[in-house]
Amino acid sequence: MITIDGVSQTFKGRSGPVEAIRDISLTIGDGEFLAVIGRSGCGKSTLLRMIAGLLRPTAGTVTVAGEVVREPRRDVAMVFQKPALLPWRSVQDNVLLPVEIFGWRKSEYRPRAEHLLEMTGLAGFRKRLPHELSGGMQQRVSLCRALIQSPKVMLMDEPFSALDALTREELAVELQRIHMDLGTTIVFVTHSIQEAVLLADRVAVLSSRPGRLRRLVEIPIPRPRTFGHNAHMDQVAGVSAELHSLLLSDEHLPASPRP
Amino acid sequence: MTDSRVWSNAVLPALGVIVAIALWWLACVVFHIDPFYVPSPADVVESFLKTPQYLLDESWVTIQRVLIGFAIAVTAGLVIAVVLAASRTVERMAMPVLAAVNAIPKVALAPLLLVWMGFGNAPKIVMVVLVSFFPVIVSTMAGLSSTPADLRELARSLKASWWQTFVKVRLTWALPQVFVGLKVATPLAIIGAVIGEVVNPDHGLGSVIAGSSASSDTALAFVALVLLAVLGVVLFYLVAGLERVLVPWARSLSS
Repeated sequence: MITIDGVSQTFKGRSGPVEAIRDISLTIGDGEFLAVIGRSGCGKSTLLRMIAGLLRPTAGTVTVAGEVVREPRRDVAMVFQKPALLPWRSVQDNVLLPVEIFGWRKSEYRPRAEHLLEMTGLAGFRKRLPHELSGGMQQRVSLCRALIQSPKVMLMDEPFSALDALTREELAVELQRIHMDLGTTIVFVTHSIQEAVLLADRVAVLSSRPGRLRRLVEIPIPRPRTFGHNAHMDQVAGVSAELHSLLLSDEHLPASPRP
Repeated sequence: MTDSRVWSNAVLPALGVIVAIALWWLACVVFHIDPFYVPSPADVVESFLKTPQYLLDESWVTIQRVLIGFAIAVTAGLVIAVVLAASRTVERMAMPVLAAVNAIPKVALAPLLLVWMGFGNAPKIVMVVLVSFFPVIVSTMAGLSSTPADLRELARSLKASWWQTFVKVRLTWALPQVFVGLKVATPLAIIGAVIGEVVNPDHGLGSVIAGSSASSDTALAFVALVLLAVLGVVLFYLVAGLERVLVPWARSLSS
């Protein structure tokens, strides 16, 4: 679904160029859930913005569904760290915003909006304004807004990082269910190993400054996965430990298996 | 309305006004101020009751000038602000000129307006516009450029056109700021009308003040001032009320 081919990104900083991403190549399959993990400042968000078409790579190309990405696409939806809801619009109208902007018929999508809100437990809150909702509910609304356009790809930029620990887990489990139901390809940027292990088919570990692909870690644990006690706790612990040591080990060594 | 809201929205403001009038009265009595210099509240009421219809008619003249001028200033201010916000080039070119126009003491323009437009409503309305348009422009532009980064990114990721982003996101987001400008501009509009009327008297409360000094009727001047103050308060709260209706979400944002 997504091919990232030799992508680099260099920003012009005040004190000379800043290399954010260096030569990342990666293929993400149809319906795959890829988590991108790395320390802050490793260019995770930059990579996501290049897939979204919000930022053009300095070198290399990103291809989505066989087309080179040059601008944002309607079949690619983004979920940001902040809910980014319009404070004067009701929950339902916020969800329908993409429909309006794409010039689609709102009446056709209203049932879908209702269905999505129901799916995320917001059925009773259609008419509410965003400030009347908790942070977790607001992020659910922004998830519904991303899903209304039936995207082939959903790009999520640390979507749960501003929430409290329990709400994060709750939303992560919910996202897993949505992914299993809809089969959307998801690229999920996070710095939480726990979230990555719960959600992802594969985890791309980035090194920092410049961001390079350090390792792709497979998570072969069967779904649905859960936090807490489950049948695969050993595997979870093993993968988590591996990701931990990858993240904590010397960032500036070349990305090769450790002795 | 609950009891506490009645208390804070109606009783307390009324109490403040009563205390202020009482202090004014007390000062007049205690310091034996000659009513020729500062008439007491009773003298002012008495003066008003001598010719109430005349004073209300003159007030109405001023109110019309204020409202027409204010409407023009707000419309022009909004349009100019939108144009400036749309084009950085235009903004860079126009801003110093607008700031310069705003910096000119408007009283100094009054004699010129007399030359250009003669007597009557036109020079007064122009004065209202000149005095009150700038805060509308500045606050609207501030509002338009304060769109949060996440909302701009959202609009970009949806490939919204400039116009869609402007109407659906930036303009509405700017409304609370626009109202800040409107609240600053409201009293300025009244000041503008009075400048016009004092310098170039024909009708209106400013003309009443100009005439009262000629006839040494201080109480009458105070009547006009009180009426202007009442007009200012009413207009201000009308704008504030409109804000509550149009941007009910803004109050929750800051809390």
